[in-house]
Amino acid sequence: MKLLPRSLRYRIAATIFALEAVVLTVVIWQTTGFVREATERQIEEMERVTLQILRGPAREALLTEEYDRFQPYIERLLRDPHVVRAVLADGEGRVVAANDARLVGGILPSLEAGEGSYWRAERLANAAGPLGTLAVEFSSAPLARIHAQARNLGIGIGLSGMAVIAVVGVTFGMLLTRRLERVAAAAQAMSRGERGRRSGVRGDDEVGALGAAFDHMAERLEADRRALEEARTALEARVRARTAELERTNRELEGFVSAVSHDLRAPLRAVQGFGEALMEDHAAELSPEARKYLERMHAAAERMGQLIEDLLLLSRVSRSQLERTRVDLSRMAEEVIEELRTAEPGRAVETHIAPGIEAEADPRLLRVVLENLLRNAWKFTRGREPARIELTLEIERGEPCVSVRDNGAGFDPRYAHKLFQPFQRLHSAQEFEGSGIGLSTVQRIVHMHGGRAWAEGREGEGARFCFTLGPRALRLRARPEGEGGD
Amino acid sequence: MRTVARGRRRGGIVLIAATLAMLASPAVCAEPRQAHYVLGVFPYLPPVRLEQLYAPVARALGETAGVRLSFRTRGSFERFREALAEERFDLVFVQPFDYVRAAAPAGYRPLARWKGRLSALVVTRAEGAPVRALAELRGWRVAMPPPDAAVSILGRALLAERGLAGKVETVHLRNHFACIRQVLAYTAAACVTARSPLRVYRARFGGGLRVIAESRPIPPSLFAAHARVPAGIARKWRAALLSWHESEAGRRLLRGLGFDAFVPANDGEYDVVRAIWREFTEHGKT
Repeated sequence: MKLLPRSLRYRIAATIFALEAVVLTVVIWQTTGFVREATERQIEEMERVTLQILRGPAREALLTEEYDRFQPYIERLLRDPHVVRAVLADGEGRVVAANDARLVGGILPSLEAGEGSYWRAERLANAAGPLGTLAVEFSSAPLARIHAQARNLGIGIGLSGMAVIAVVGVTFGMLLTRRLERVAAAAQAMSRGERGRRSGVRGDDEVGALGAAFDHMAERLEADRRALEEARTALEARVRARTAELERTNRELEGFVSAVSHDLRAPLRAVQGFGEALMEDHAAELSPEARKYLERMHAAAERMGQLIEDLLLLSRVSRSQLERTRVDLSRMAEEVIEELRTAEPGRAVETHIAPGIEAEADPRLLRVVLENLLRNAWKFTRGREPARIELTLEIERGEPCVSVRDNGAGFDPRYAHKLFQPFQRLHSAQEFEGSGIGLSTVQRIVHMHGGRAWAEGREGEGARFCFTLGPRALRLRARPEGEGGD
Repeated sequence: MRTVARGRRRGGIVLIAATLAMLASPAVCAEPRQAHYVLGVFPYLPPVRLEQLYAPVARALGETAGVRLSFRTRGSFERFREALAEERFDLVFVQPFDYVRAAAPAGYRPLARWKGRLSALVVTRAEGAPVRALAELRGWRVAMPPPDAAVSILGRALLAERGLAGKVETVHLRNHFACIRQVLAYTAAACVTARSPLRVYRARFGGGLRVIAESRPIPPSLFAAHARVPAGIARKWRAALLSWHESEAGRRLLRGLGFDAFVPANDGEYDVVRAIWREFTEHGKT
């Protein structure tokens, strides 16, 4: 339970109040105690003086046995309301003078303190022996009254002091926290976005210094923010300009590549056509060596044609607009494998395509990716018995990725980073045909989808190509009820 | 026979029990209560001053006799004389006129007296005194102790002998010291006092006083025991008083009182006092 509001002013007031209450209590306790002790000492001294004054006449009365001369002293003494009784007894304990005539002649009464009174007694004696006893009974009422007055005065002073301190504490807390509240309000306003808000608190004390520092900090923050905004605007403008320039350059480059490719295709077709015509119509007239040269020229033209096709494909990919849709990646892979088997029916390749892999991707581009990766696997497992190709969905660094694994020629892992660069080849064209653009195309498509592509492998021990397609773009389709596993 | 034997045994047991009971009784076991006597001293000094001087005397005499001896006095000569007449004291130190007037008739018997003689001294200031001789006192005020004091009687007798009876104003004060203070305060030209209080006063407050005349000497104040006091105790008191000048403790007591020694006293010595008193009362010398 919170006994006090959490406001600083009440805490300050409560702390001051508590401290002052303790100090006041101690001071008043000590003071009233001192007053009480001083009063008690004073009363005791007064009683002692009373006895001392009476001692001479009492002694004389006892020495002369003329007690009637002592009686006026006793009766005068009783004018003091503090005195209840006064008694003088001789050496035998017989009362010889007393304010109460009934006591005279009797035995000295018990000198033990009674209800509301107490005795002060003095035994009188000389060298010859005891003379008698002088006893005065004093009332406790004055002392009790002084005790009560001291207590009431202490409580009164304490309560008054604490009330004053409470008012002063609350006022002081309000004065102090009112300025602090202005600083806090300015800070809260700034946190809400009112950047122009300032506390306006000034002064020579700590709160004034806090307000000034806060306002100065706000000014600095605002200046920094403005500078940052200007820098960001300038940067964005530069980025936009650079992007536009890059896009223009890319368009020009792609246009150039497209144009060059298109322009190259026509003479290349002429070379291929005339070469084929030469082989078909004039083969008998050619020497074997000439035929051999002609065949090599034809093969080169084929490779160049493929190269042009691939460049055109890369160019198209770069310019195409991404249109994501749900794609049955497993089925698409099966179709590609089937096409590869049809193209090379003589090859015995074991394939395993994990079923149910779905992708949120552009189906046309995803097809290009799968064709490139599976065709590479098909190509680089040539000569392997048995050749094996697997396509699975795996988890890499907590992210699903499509993995295409084969047991083909593999590659030197030191050059893995070069695989996705255009025209980079780790095998000779005589060994494995290809343009060196396919993996670049794969990487371009994967990047367009927000994914990444990478390769693992060892020379002669097969390779593994993986790609992702961005967050939540790859998943395994839930199996329908009753569908069995492999 | 058997009955007789049983009766004898029972009687023996009762006897033993009675003996044991007697042995165990307070009367046998408790110490006997010490006899209590009272020393009365005539008020020639204030009571508290007398207490300082005579309480040690009472203790010494009580210890000597193996009794408790308390000191008492009275506030005035008259009351002291009344107490003498009422035989309130067992041992008294009394001035000679009170002895012959009250003590002796009440049954007090002399034990010892101060070795010297008592005379009245007429004292003035040593310097600045208005009178330098007794004859010059005519018309002046003379302070005296209470009228019943021996010194006052002797002093008045002296003034009468010198023809000054009725020629001086006499004023009686409470005690010797009060008289002396009158002289020092110039409220009296002279005072009548005795040698002993004068010596005590000088010892306590210094000099400044001069004796200009002295009366006929008489036997001084004396210790007297009441006839009811057992003779053995009275003898011990007397022996002690007479021997004090022989011991340091005794001399200390004597010095306190202002005396040199005590000598034996007898009633016959005080006939001269009786004569003076008779003459004083018969002729009314004042």
